[in-house]
Amino acid sequence: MILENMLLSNKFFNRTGITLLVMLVILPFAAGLIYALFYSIGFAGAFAKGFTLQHIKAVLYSNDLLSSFLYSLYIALSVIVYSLLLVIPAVAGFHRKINDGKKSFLVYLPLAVPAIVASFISFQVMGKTGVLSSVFFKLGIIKDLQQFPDVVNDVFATSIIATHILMAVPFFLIYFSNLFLTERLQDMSAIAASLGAGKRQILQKLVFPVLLKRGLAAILLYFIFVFGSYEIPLLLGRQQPQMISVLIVRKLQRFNLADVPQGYFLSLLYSLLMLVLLSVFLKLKNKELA
Amino acid sequence: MKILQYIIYIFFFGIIVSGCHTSSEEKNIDPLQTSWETIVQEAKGHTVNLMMWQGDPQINKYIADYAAPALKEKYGITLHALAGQGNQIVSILMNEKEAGKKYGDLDMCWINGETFYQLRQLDALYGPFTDKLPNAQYIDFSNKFINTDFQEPVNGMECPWGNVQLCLIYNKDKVNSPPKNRAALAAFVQANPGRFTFGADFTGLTFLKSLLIDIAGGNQTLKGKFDEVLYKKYSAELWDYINGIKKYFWKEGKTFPASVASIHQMFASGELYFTMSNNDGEVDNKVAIGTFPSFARSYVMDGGSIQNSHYLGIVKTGKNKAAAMVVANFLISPIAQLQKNKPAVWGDGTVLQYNKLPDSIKKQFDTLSQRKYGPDRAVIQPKALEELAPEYMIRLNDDFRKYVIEQ
Repeated sequence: MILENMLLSNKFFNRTGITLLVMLVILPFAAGLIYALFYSIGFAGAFAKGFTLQHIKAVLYSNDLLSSFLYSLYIALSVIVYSLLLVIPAVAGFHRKINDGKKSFLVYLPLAVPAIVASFISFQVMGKTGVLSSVFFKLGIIKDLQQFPDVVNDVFATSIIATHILMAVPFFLIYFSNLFLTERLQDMSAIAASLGAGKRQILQKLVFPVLLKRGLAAILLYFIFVFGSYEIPLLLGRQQPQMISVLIVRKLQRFNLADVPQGYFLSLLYSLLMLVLLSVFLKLKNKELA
Repeated sequence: MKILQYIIYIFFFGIIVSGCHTSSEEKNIDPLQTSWETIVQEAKGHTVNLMMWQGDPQINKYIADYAAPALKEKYGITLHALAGQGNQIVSILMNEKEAGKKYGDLDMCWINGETFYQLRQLDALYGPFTDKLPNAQYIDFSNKFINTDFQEPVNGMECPWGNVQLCLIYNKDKVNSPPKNRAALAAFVQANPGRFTFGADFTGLTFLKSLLIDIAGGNQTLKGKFDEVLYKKYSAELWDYINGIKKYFWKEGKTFPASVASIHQMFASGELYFTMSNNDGEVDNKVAIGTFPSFARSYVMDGGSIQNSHYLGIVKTGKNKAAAMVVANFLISPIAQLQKNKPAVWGDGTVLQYNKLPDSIKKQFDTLSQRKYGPDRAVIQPKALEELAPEYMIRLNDDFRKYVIEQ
């Protein structure tokens, strides 16, 4: 009876949940951040020699930091914008088919492909001697394989963005098609149409605003995921600039052990930025619930 | 309710404390202080975790299909290969050291040069142990390319395992006469834009080091400890040379491949006319297994190329040092080195001295098929350059980014 009361009590679950959250998530994460800070200022690490700001200065004064953050931002924003431009009209037109059991398998399939495999496939398909290039050559569109546009390791990160879009589209299709149904957008579209609204107007004035507003939290989370991606830019990206995760791993694991504290400081900056974005996400989520 | 909270706290505290407690499984026997027979006896039944580069299926096959079964059968040792190379090994062992772990998960590692230097800095290697290995009697320790690693005497702290020399690999159908010197290479690159590059990795840095030594007028100039003045003088010339022709490189020199594996792939597909390998036997191996088409040929430029050895290190925090020593002893045995030397298996150069080998093994080395696609070792040996002090590589790595990639 006592146990039954205890288990049924919300207070019990709240307290236990918070305790587990603190022990399993917050404490290790906070400890990691503190360790990264100590490492950056010379208080921790195999070669630590006491307090110094030289590693922090080296990061802040280098070109790597700003270019890497801007490059990651450009890629993450591009992926989100292009994906949404593809997905939302598709959801408005085909949400039933997307949720159809058999056909939805095709949508779910790309979600099962790991990022490293996706990047390798892109490398094989989009390279100058890749599948697309060979098809163009066979069709006579290009006279030499070298004439195929430079889309792998290129300055605009074309293949990185394309690969991420291929992975993001299925996720957003499933997410927004469910949202489309729960928000009863089909009924609302029908009402709008009966009042004389055209397809384009419905899309612009109704579907896009409602789905973007309700899905903002998920979009932000996906933005964070792309911003910190590693495998795809590692294979398809350039040596300069590099996405933030690639840069951090380079600093942590390259030939010069003296660069390791710089890697920790970069990790710290990156984590703090993500915390800011997550707090924005929580605010949006709370607004959504309200 | 509060009691349950305390139980959770105590539970996690227990986990943390148990995590700090080191394993008591290890034995107190120090293999360096005991006989080889005792070491072999002690090794039986143990598992050795060997961290090694696993980027080549043939090398993985050698370990999985040849070395591991032989070790199991002869010594009752389970050899477990883990994927990871230089920087990852250093990272793992550095983290273990920082965490104050007395015993870690790694027993052995495949290393050379800069990793040896970094692990020595961390005091993460066990030894000196090679004197204890019976098969070390066959190793050519009089060879400067074997007894010294990046200008640092190995002194028994790592066991020589293979010896290789950097080669340029070219497409013979597209390159009639491969460039033999820096000027010819520059002319070729200009005449064939987009067909040449090198990686921002270990192999690419070895290529840059070879050019640096050539620019400095040979091995004697940069031999010994790192010299800042000499480095600045000759590296400036090196960056001028690279920057002068980089607009004719693959992708107009605006980026460089992250690894030699992707250069190999572009070479095989015909996108690039050149790739390179740290292993002078690799071209025969890659053609034999079908990775490279038969148009692949390799050579060394007149200015020479770096020759170096790769080694097996035993980790100081490893739990099974005796078993690791038995593994190292097996891998340098004449029969295991012979197997590794076969072009269709790995094509890795041996570290054993021919004259010291038993006659039966000598004959087998003699009857190994001659190289068809790469030059024989005897031909390129006179062009072999010694590795420079590790600081040269660290500086070249940083400055290559600063003065070439970021320009």
